[in-house]
Amino acid sequence: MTFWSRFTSWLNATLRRSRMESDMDAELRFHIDQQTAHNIAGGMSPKEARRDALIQLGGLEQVKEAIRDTRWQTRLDNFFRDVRFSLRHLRKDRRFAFGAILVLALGIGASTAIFSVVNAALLRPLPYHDPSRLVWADEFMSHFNNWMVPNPEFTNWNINNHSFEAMLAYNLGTESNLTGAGEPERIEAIGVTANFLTVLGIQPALGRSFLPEEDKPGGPLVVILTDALWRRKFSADPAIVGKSIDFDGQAYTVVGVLPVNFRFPDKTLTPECLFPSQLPAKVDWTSKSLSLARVIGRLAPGVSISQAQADLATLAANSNSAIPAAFVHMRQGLQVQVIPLQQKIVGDVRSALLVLLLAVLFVLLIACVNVANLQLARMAGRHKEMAVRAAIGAGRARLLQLLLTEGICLAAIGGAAGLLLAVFGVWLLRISLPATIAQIGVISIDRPVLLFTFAVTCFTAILFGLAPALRASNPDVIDALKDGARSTGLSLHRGYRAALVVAEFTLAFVLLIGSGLLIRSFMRLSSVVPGFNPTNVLTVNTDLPMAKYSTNQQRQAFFVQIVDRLRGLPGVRSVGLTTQLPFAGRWSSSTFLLEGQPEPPPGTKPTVLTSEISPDYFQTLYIPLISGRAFTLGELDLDSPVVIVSATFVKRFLPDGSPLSKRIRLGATGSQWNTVVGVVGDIHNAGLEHDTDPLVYLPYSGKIHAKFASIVLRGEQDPRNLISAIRTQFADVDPLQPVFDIATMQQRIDDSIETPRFYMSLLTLFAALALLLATVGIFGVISYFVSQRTHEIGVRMALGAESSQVLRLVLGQGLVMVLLGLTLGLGSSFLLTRYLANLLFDISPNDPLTILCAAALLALVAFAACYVPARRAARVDPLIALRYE
Amino acid sequence: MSKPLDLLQGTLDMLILKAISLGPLHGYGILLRIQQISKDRLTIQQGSLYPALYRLEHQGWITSEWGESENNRKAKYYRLTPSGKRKFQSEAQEWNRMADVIAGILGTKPEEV
Repeated sequence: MTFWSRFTSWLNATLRRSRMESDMDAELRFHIDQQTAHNIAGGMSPKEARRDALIQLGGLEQVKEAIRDTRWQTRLDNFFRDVRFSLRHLRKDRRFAFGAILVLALGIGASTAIFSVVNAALLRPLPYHDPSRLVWADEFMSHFNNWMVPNPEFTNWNINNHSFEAMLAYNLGTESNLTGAGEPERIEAIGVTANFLTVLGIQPALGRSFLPEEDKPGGPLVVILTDALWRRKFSADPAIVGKSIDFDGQAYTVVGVLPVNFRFPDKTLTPECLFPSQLPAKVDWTSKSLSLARVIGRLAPGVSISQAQADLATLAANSNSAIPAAFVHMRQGLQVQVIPLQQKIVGDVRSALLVLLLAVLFVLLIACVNVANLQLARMAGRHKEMAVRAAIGAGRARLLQLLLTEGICLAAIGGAAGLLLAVFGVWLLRISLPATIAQIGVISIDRPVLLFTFAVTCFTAILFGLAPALRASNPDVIDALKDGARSTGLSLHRGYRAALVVAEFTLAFVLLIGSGLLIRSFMRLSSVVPGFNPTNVLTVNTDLPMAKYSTNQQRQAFFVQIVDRLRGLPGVRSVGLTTQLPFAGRWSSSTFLLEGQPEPPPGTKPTVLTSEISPDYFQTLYIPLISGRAFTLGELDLDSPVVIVSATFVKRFLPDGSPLSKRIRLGATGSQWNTVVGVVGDIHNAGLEHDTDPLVYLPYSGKIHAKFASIVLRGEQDPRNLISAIRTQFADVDPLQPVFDIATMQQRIDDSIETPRFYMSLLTLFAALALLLATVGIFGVISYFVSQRTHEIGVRMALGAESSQVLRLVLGQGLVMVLLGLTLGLGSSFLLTRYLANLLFDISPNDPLTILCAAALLALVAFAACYVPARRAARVDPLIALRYE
Repeated sequence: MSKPLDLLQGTLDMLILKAISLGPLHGYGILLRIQQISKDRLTIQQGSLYPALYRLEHQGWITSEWGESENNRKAKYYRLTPSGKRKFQSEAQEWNRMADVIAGILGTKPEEV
C-alpha cells in the first residue's frame, strides 16, 4: 500500500469509526444473546446463563479492544492518541515537565556539543583524497632524544622504497616578509616537494601545482598562496597567477592559489604560502644544506603500515654506509616509525577529548536517572489510573505503549531543546577552544552529530522510560482499586529509586574527583613562577630581511636604534632585546665545551639553549642577577668574549667553586673562549609545565640567526596603550619593516596554559552539573520518603519517639545512599582517573586530598539536601498525621 | 469422551474459512458449525474468534453483510470472497501436505530407517 492509500483508508476508517463501533456492538450483543439462550436451554437460570456467556467470550470490552487492535489504523491512532494524552498530561504537570525537559536538554545539549568536537577531531576523515592510506613516517634519534628526518633520508626513502605509491616532504617553514602589497607583513611559508598537492589529492582553486623542474636546487622562484592570503593581501585578484610578488626582497612568481578549505596536514604549522623545497635529487649526506624534513606517504594498495615501517627501517639502516663517519654514531639506536596520519594529527588531544566525552555522558546518565526517578514518583501516583485502564481492557502491551509514549514525548522535546542548547554550546566552544584542538578541524553540527543526538535521545527515552513503564504497566488491579488502599508498589519503588540515587552519587563522585584533580593540577601549574615578572611587560617580534639587512652591523644598528627610541617613549620603564623570548616556542641552541674538559668525539657535545640579549634585558623582565654583572652596551659586539649563565647551568655543569671567570666555548672547535661574567635566575623558557633548562646568554651580536629578535618592554602601567606608539617608532626607523605578534607577556603565559585551563573548566562545569542533579535527585527521594511515611512517623511520635530520633531516621536513609554512592564512586575513580594521568601536572591521579575534598563536598551537599525534608518529618504533628489517614 | 483439543496456532483462520465455505454464517454460527463438524473435539476461544473475523475481513478473504437470523434477529453474516476461496484452497492443500509429511514421520518404524 502506498502511503497515500494508507492515509485515505485511515481517513475513511476514522470517518466510519462510529459505524464500525455500533456494528461491533450489535454483533457481539447478538452473540451473547445466542449463547445466553443456548445456556438457558441447557438448564441455567437467565442471570447465570448471561454471566457464563460473558465469561466464555472473555470479557466484552477486552474482545472489542482486541478487534480494534486488528486494524493498523488503530495502532497508529493509539499512538497519536497516546501522544496527545501524554502532552496533555505533561501540560497538567508543568513542574515535572519543565524540570524533566530542562534536565534532559542540558544533558543532551552538552553531550551533543562535546560530541561535535570529538566528531571534528577524531571521527571526520582528513580533508584529503583517500586519507586512510596516508601515513606519517618519522625517525627517532636517541642521540638527540628527538624525532627528526634529515632530508637525505627522505630522498633515500623516496627513491628506494617498495611500499608507497608516493612520498612527500615539507620543511618546518620559515617566516618571510611580504612587501609590495599594502603594509609589510610577516608570512609563514613552507617549502614542500613538488608532488605535495598531488599526493594529498588537492586541486588548486586557481593556477596549478608545482612542476618537477621548479623543485630542483636553483630552480625558479615560485609560490602558491592560500585562499586567506590571496584575499587579505591581494583582494582576491582573479588574475594573480603569473604575477610577481616580493618575499624578503626577492621576486616570486605566483603559480597557484589553494582552495578555501585547504588544511595543512600538520596542525603545528599554519603556512600562508608554499614554496618548492628544492631538495637535491640524489641522496647527499655531505651537502652543506642538510635540513630536516617531515614526511607523509601514500601507501601503495594492499601494503600494511607494518610492512611500510619495515621497508623504511631497512632503507634507513642501509644508508649508514653512505653517511660520513662522523655522523654514524648519531644514528645508533635509530628507530623508524610509520603511523596513520590521522593519529599523528589528533594523537595528543584524543585521550583528553574521550575523557570529556565520557564525563559529559556521565552527566547525561545522571540526568536520565533523575528523570526516571521523577517518573517513578509520578507512576506511584498513577497506580489507580493504570489499574482502571487494565480493568477496562487494556493489555500490558497497550499500557507499556502508553507509558513509553510519554517517555518518547519527553525525550523528543528534551532532545529538540538539547539541540538548540548544543547550537549555542558549539558557538561557545568555537570561541573558547584552545588552538591545539581548534586547528584539527572546524566543529559544526553536521549529519553524524545529528545522528548522535538522535541516538542519545532514543537511548534516554528507553533509559528513563522503560523501567518505570515496566513496573507501572503490571498493576495489581484488585488491590489498587480497593478504596483507600495505599499503593502497593511503594516499597518496591523506594528500593529502586534509592538504587538510582546511589548510581547518581557514584557518577557524580567520579566526576568531582576528576575535576578536582584537574583544578588542583591547574592551580599548581599556574602557580609556577616563570622566573621573571610578566606584569606590564609587552613583547614585540620582528624579523629583518636578509636582502636589506645583510651585515651584522646593519642588524645591530637597527635594534639598538629601536631599543633607544622605545626607551624614550613616555610611560616606558625599560626596554630589552632577546633572540629567545620565553613562552614563544622559539629554540636556538648550541653545543658547548667547558674549559679544561677533554674535547669529546664529534657529535657528542652537550647542547644548551642560547639567547642573545641587550644589557637591559634582565632588568626589564626582572630576572634576578645572582652574582657578577649584566652586559654593558660596549659588549654588544660580535666577538665580546663574555657570557652570562643561568642558575641551572651552574648547578648542572659548574657545580664546584665560583662560576665567575670560568670559560666556555660555544659552537665548533676553534671558536673563542667566553668568560662567565654573571649568573642569573632560571626561567621556564619552554612553558610552566617544563623544567627550567640551562641557558647561556650572549651579548646581541646581530649574527645571521639573530635577524629574528624580540623586544621586551616594561611600562609604568598596562603597556597595551603603547602599541600604536611602538608601531610609529618602527615605521620611523624603517617603513618597510613589519612588526608582528605583539602581545603582553602575561598573555603569552596564559596562552601557554590555555589547553589545560580549557579541560579543567569543562570538566568542572560537568562536575558541577552532576552535583546539582544528584542533589536534586536525593532531595526528591528523601522528600518523597517523608511524605509517604508521614503516617508511620506520626505513629512513632505518638508512641513516644523524639523528633531528634525521627530526624536521625530520615537522615540515616540519605546517609546510606550517599555512603554507598561514595564507596562505589571511589572504586570506579581508581579505575577511571588513570586515564586523566597525562592531563595532570605534578599530582597523582589518586591524590588523597582531592578525593577527600570531593567526598566532603558531596557529603555536605547531600546532607543539606536531606536535612530539609528531615526537618519537615521531625516537625510532624502526630495528631494531624494520624487524622490524615 | 476424550478431553477437547486446543486449537493449533494459526489454524483458526483456516477453520473459519472452511466453516463459511459451506454457506454464509454469523459469528455464533461459525462457532457452532466448527464444534459440530469437529464433533465437539475442538474448543475455540470465543474471545479470539471475533478479532480473527475482523482481520480476515480486513485482508479481503471474507466479506460481511447484515441479515436476519433463524430467530428473526438482525445478525452479521460472513461469506467467502473469490480470493478468500482461493486462499482457503491453497491453505488446505498446504495443510494436507504438511499433515501427510508429519504423519509419515511419526509413523516411521525403526526397521524403515
